[in-house]
Amino acid sequence: MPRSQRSDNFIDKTFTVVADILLRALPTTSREKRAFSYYREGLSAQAEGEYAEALQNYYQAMRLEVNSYDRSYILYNIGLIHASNGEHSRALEYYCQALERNPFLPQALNNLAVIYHYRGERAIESGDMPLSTLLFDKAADYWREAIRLAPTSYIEAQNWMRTTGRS
Amino acid sequence: LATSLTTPGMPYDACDDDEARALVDTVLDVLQTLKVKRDMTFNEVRLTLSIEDPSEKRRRQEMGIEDESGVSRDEIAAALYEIEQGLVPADGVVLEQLAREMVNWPDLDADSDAMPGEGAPMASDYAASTPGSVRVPSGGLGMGGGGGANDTEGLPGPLGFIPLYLVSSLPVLIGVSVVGVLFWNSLS
Repeated sequence: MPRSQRSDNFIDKTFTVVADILLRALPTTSREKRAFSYYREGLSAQAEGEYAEALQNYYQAMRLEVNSYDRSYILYNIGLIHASNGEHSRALEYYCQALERNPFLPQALNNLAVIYHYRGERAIESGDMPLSTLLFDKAADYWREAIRLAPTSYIEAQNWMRTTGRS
Repeated sequence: LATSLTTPGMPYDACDDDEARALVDTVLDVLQTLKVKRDMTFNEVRLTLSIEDPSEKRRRQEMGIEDESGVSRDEIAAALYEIEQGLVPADGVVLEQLAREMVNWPDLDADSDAMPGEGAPMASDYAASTPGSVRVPSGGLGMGGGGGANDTEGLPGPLGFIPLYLVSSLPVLIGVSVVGVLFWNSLS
């Protein structure tokens, strides 16, 4: 049984069944369906913390998906996995590539900002103030763009930018 | 990137290994096909080939345990980078593995109907199923930022909403049926 159908939660299960029916009914090619199916399997595995399995599914989805816009979501999720594993440089690469294919991804912009903000804080801890200022400025740039795309999101970031005079 | 390979490659023209050159040609051919048919940039292909389970990577780096192929994803990505730079990777095993992966890229022959980059941002199933996705106004990157005046652009006409009306009327129909059954039962 595919991972996405193994969920115990009744609502999740119902949603999955409906999504599967829609997937079968959608007027798409079999390759697109396979690609999207791999993507959904990847999402389920990622939600359960099974990163190896998620990445395998994303790898297959990346190789099958024709639409560059849709691929941006796969790249974004791979970035998420690397970020949660502490591989920030790797995550940055995937987020940037996702944004290159799809500039309408405020969540990728936000995550880029979060990484730069984190690096800025590490720079303060190591006493490198000029570097921290540079990194915080970069974080602010990404947040500014994310907030421009999604004005009602990222309230904390908006407050941080206001209090640090970067808004 | 290049540091993932122990020995740097040699320029394509200076390489006299015909087999290695043929493999490089194959890789370049598939790269070109991916660019034309799927709108895949070099960097996207490289990142796709770099996808690797982080725990496997840690195992290899910390304990030196290789998988059965003996070739890491980083090495494959580095070889691809060298090829793109006009070099022939020195490690034949890595080059062979890279060429195999490129040749076996699924469904490349069936891509005559491919529509790279098509599909409105809001219409993507991927966007809908990605957790934490933020809905972006369709005029998203316009200089004004808002795009409120164009919010109704691209929406279907009243008749285009028929499926939506049908789905929305379902609960009403169910409610009416339940009341009807209850009424019928009360009569009998």
